[in-house]
Amino acid sequence: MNEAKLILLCGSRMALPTMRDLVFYRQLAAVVIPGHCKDFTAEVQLLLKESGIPILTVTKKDFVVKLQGSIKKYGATMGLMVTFTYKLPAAVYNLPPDGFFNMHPGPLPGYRGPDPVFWQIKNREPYAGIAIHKVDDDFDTGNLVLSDKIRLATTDTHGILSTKLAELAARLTGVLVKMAGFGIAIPSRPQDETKAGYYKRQGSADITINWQTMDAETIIALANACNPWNKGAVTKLNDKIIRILEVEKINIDEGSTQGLAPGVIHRISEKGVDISALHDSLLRLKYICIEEGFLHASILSGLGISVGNSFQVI
Amino acid sequence: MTIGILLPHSNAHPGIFKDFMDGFNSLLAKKELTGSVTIKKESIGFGGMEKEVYAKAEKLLVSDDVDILIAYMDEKVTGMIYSLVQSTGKLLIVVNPGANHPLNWIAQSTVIHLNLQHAFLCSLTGRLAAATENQSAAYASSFYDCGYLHSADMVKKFMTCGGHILHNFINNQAYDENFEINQLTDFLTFRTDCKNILCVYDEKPASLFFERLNNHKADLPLSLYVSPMMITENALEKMGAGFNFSINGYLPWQPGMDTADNQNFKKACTRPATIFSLLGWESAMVIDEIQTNYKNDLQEGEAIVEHLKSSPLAGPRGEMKLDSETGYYKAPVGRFILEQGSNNAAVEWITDMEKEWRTFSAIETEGSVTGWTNTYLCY
Repeated sequence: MNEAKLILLCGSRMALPTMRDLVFYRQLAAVVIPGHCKDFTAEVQLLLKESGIPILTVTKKDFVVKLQGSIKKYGATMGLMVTFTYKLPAAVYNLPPDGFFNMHPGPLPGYRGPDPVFWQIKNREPYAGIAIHKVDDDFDTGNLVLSDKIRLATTDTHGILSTKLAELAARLTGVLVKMAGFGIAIPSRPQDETKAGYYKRQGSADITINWQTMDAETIIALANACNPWNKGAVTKLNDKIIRILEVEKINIDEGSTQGLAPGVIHRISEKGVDISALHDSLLRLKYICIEEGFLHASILSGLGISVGNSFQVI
Repeated sequence: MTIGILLPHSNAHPGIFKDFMDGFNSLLAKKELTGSVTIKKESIGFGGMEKEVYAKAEKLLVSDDVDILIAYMDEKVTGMIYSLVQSTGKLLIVVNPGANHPLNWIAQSTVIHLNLQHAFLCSLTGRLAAATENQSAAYASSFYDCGYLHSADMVKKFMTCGGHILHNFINNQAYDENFEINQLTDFLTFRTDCKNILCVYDEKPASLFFERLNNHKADLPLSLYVSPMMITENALEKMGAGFNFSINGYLPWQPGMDTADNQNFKKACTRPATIFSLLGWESAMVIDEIQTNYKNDLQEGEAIVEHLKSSPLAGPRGEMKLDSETGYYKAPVGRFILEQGSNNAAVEWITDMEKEWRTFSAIETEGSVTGWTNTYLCY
């Protein structure tokens, strides 16, 4: 069996389980990280401290030349991108004999774009997926090689789902590397363009709660999708920006919220802040992020917030 | 219609290849499909060498361009050929005893699984054992048998239902006159409060295990809660007038099942009916269903799977339904009871296990999982 050696291009912790497995199986030739990912670079340096595996930092200006040199220098037979933000030219992705692949943290072709983890949660998908595809001249469009799914729990935050998908990515990479080791062409198929979907980088409207149009489940999903990277979904109360990190739907006493407009505070207790939502449902705000810190929502009662106050649409 | 079949062999069950094909061909003959189905077979050793399995699957799917691939292989290896299957869009039917299962149970769009549900049955047995009065048990298995998830499923279910494991006994001896279980019987002598044993063995070691344990004189009768291969005719061959312990468990099928479909199956086969010919027969039932309803779209794996989801099949072990959530066929299960001192086992067939199956398949296996890659019973 041929031994595949990977050059791993990555920019976030989502690559760490893959890196861990490749190091364990001695299949990691080098790691390449964009220079602006300073914290991540430091983390990888710590992890690979005694492994002898080279870590290269690159910029948008020099990454092509550096990659071309490194693939040859370190004998990489295969390239893999995991959350690497620069677009590779053919002069790079055609270099490794076993090919260059991208691990996309969303199902393809339906979830093309820079942050499919956010959109899968926001869209309340029952499953979250990942896909390995061949790298071509555009982002997320190359031939599909492998894909898999996991159940998306209604409690999965962006952080939790990223961790789960990262483990799934490591498992799929293991399969990819084994296939390369068989010494036969890795099978792939073109993406079905009729099913293609592109999700842009989320803007401020995408992360803001609209109490008038969003039902309870949609608000919960949005809070999860914004936790932790945005410190929660954004809303406003008494002209103060509040980011909701954790919120849950609770049972209501018969008729207790009837007639209350969505977004009105119904009760404040040590359990949290209960807010009316669309369709006579009730949400309990548990954790929030405000200027004062990451806090339990009940703290709002000490900040002048009381029953009857209403969250506003920004 | 061209069918590719990947078949393993086994030293412990040397008839596996012939039995499977006997069941498969017998159903085709009965349905008068022999002339319209071309079969291409490839041997994959014990089914555990990924490169070999991959190369043979590629040959059948790509070079031979079969319409449908039936792969008698383990779940662990199946993932290696998903890419091939996905790239061709063809239907893959994964067949095995069901001792392993995927880490998550999410259905793949062009893959279905037809097996004997061993892991599920072991889980049911674990629940059964936990319902006993003192909720404690010893666990006995072999180095080979415990290397599949059916073993973990039995123990995990037992423990989540409140059971406590008092002792683990794993032996790794040849299945001959030197086979012994002294460590276990020493423990039972010392811990007279241990009245239950969870057991996971293949037929041959099961037979030896029963024989050795029958020589152990326990103060109070022991109750054994066992895996499906321990309650086959071969495993119980030394029962004589009965054992000095009771045996409980669940099984997927018995040759003696008194149903018309089972009688037809046994009558049509040219070799004695076994679990392997049963799997061959049932695989051919799926092929028959496809040939009847999808004759012109044989390589449309996704559409075929969608059709099969709403097409129950009547087979030797009762009605089989394809579970749309997992892609696994569900079938009735038999609750087996052999009382102490009796040689007359009772089996009650249960058709509605939906709730139990849903609970079982909702559990995602977390953490590191190790185990054998060859197919269970292929060694």
